[in-house]
Amino acid sequence: MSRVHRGRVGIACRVAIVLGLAGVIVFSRAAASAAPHSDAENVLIVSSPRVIHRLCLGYSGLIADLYWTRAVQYFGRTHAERGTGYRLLAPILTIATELDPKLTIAYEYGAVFLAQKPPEGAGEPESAVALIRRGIEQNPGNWRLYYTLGFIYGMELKDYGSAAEAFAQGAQIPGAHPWMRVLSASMAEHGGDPETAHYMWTQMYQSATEDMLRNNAEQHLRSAEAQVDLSRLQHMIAAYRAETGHPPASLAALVRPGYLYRLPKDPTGQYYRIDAHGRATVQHPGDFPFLEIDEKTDPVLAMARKP
Amino acid sequence: MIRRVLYIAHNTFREAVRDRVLYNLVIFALLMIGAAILFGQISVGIERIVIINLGLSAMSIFGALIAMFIGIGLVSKEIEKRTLYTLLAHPVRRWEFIAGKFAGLAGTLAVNACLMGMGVYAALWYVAHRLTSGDVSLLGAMYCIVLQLVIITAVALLFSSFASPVMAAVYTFALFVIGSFDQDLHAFAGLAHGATRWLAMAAAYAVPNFASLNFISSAAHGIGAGPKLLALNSAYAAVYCVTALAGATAVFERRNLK
Amino acid sequence: MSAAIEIAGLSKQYSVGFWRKRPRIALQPLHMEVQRGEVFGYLGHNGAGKTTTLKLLMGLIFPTAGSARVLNLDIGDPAMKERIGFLPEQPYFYDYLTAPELLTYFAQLSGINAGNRERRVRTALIRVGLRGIDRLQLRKFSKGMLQRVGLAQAILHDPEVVILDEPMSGLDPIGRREVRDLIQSLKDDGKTILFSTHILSDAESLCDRVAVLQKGRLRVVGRVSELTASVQGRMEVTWRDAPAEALGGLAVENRAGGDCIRSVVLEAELDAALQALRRARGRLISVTPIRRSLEQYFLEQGDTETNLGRDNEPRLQFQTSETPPFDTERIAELAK
Ligand SMILES: Nc1ncnc2c1ncn2[C@@H]1O[C@H](COP(=O)(O)OP(=O)(O)OP(=O)(O)O)[C@@H](O)[C@H]1O
Ligand SMILES: [Mg+2]
Repeated sequence: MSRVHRGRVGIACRVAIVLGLAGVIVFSRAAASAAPHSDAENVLIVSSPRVIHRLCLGYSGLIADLYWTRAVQYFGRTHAERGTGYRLLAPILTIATELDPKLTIAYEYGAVFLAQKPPEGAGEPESAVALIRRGIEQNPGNWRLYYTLGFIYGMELKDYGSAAEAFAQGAQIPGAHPWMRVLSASMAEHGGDPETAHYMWTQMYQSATEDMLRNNAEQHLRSAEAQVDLSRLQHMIAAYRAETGHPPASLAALVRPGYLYRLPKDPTGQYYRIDAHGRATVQHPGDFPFLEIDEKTDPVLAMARKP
Repeated sequence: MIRRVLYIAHNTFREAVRDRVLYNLVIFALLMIGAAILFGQISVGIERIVIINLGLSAMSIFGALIAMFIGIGLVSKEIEKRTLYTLLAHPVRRWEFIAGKFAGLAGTLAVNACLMGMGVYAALWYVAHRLTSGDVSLLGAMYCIVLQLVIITAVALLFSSFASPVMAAVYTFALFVIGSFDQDLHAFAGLAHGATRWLAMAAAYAVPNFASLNFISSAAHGIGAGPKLLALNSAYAAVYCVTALAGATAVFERRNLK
Repeated sequence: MSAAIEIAGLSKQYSVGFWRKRPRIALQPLHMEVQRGEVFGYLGHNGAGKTTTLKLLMGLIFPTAGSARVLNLDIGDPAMKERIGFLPEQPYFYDYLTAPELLTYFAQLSGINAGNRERRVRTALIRVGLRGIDRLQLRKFSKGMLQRVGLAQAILHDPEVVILDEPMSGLDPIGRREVRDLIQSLKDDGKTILFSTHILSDAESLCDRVAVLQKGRLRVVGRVSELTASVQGRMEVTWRDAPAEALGGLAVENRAGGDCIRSVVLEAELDAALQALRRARGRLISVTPIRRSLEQYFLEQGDTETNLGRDNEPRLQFQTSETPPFDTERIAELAK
């Protein structure tokens, strides 16, 4: 009887635990989805990092890591939702780096994504520069921060002089990678060249320690390669039109007259195509977030403008 | 059966009260009075917010400490000091003991929270000389605090069913802290891959989600939790408690008393 | 009618150690019965396993093997606990309650209806000799007072079987006598009492039967009179008018006092000793059996435990746990 009773209670408990765990998951999810979407906002009610520093009671390192994760999470979520406003990115990064001034990854990563244009970043290159400069102040021996600084000057602000200077300063630091000097020189001489950009992104891709930074660099490289291809295709389309008097129906039309040997593919292996405006483009623009069409120099547009 | 659970609950409540648990109310009252007088005088337009933030935070912190230490104290102490011997020598089943203890502790905490809640309202009335409809939303936040406390109690019971009082306190406190960062735990899980992701996910769900039961700062700004959210949170707390108590019973049912 | 307590092969083994668990045997398989209406003493040295047995009976710990029934109900059956009272060793209660509150609480849990509670609580307190402490919280009770509260809660619900773990410990001499009287009066009410102790005079004066436990193993069970009778096995022969050497090697011990010589001889050699005395023309004054107390017996048990270890040496004419269950008739026979 007693064993039976105990056994029965034991079974009841086990059933309750299993059902309970399932229920916990169900209600936890339901409550989370019903709650106002405000975790990041709430988190930032205290906006002065110094205050937080004091509130952390000496656990600021841990809290900094937490904020850093929140920054990644916030960026990832906004990015996934194709949102454009990253207004909280700078404050979260400020808090994280203020709590733990040695958290260099936060400067590097944060600066790159702060600087990039929306939707791939916050489009705030100035705050990116400020962030990275604070990082350099706190971590003067870290040449990678100079590298990031130069990068942002060169690639986002197009301020090649400052970029060359940043690279040069970084190159002074013991242990700096030798290509810092190369970067400095090429910035000074060929700042705006696509080859320079390509070289810089390649370096970034090869030296990035974080997946997110590497993927970002890869997207840049991919976009840059596609951009070169597209620019050549645009010229061919313009030439075809000048020759025949009408735009090509598809890229296949360019093969027969000998403009192309075969149908070209983009870096992801998809064929290029012609869009509704008669311009060459990629199949999946989402794969090439950094593709830019320079409206001024585009021959097709120039032709369209000329009646 | 239910009667015995109620007797045990009543005894637990009585013992907690006599153990001067409610003395924390004195500190709380002093805090509220001090804040009310101070902010009532220097009125910088945020006296309501300060009173609410301070009052509800104190409610939650006092409550959590009481839930942890009294919860563990009363249960592990019964095992440690062997008061349980005589209790279980009477026709009391072990699960009835767990259930009764839980009910008694939850009752103690609810009463404690009620009194504190009244203190908060009194202080609000003092600084504003009236209560607005927005103040009703405070009730929701207070209710969620009680839910938190009840969950802590269940967790404390679970730990004290197998650990020594000190270790049970440590575990419960750790879970309380981790639970307050549960959303970040979910975020970590979201960033991870493969097995790590599953482990982090499991941990995130296993830990009580105190963060989503915390409406203190939104209540301070007059934003209440809607009825749907309150219902879901209640369901969550109920299910979590039942699970923890079932675990406690499963362990306790086969435990050799020292 | 079945026995009040039937223990069939109950055993308990703890595992101790943090990494490498080693078994520690607290109780060897135990077979024993306590009859209804009996006062049964459970004796053993410190660490012999008395408390272990009683805790097993109360379902506070769970047996490694074996089973037991109390009042024909399996141990752990909650219905059993309504008919059984238990005093743990060194009882301790809720700090902040008073004795009447505590007893009322236990009365509620035992299902005593509200009308009777008050009266039961009063009676129990009076029976254990606690008066004038109605307002005192239990944390302010002395050790002996707590012991009395423990006794009160054990008899509160008028149980048929009362199990007491060292009921006399912590009590002053008057308290001991009061507890003895209490046990006696419980017996007079027809209750069954099982109590453990290592104070043997208590057991000797109270118990119908006793069991002796040693290192977790049941050594002997029997009526107190039989036990002491058998254990003695010695006679004191007092005589005069003969030299002290008259008994030769038969005397275990000789003592001269006044004109008389007192010699202790083994019971089995009494006839030979008396013949020798007659041959020496000594004048026999008295032959008295030496009633040794359980205490001595108990000490002997302790001293010779290695001897006992030489299995089944029939030094004691009692059944040991190897041949369960015991059989009173056979013990009586052997004792003769
Ligand atoms: N929780 C435990 N873990 C390991 N061993 C234990 C445990 N409890 C008891 N023991 C062992 O079981 C044996 C019997 O202990 P028990 O308490 O039954 O002795 P006892 O006869 O009541 O002694 P005493 O007269 O001192 O009260 C002892 O050797 C003890 O070390
Ligand atoms: Mg003992």
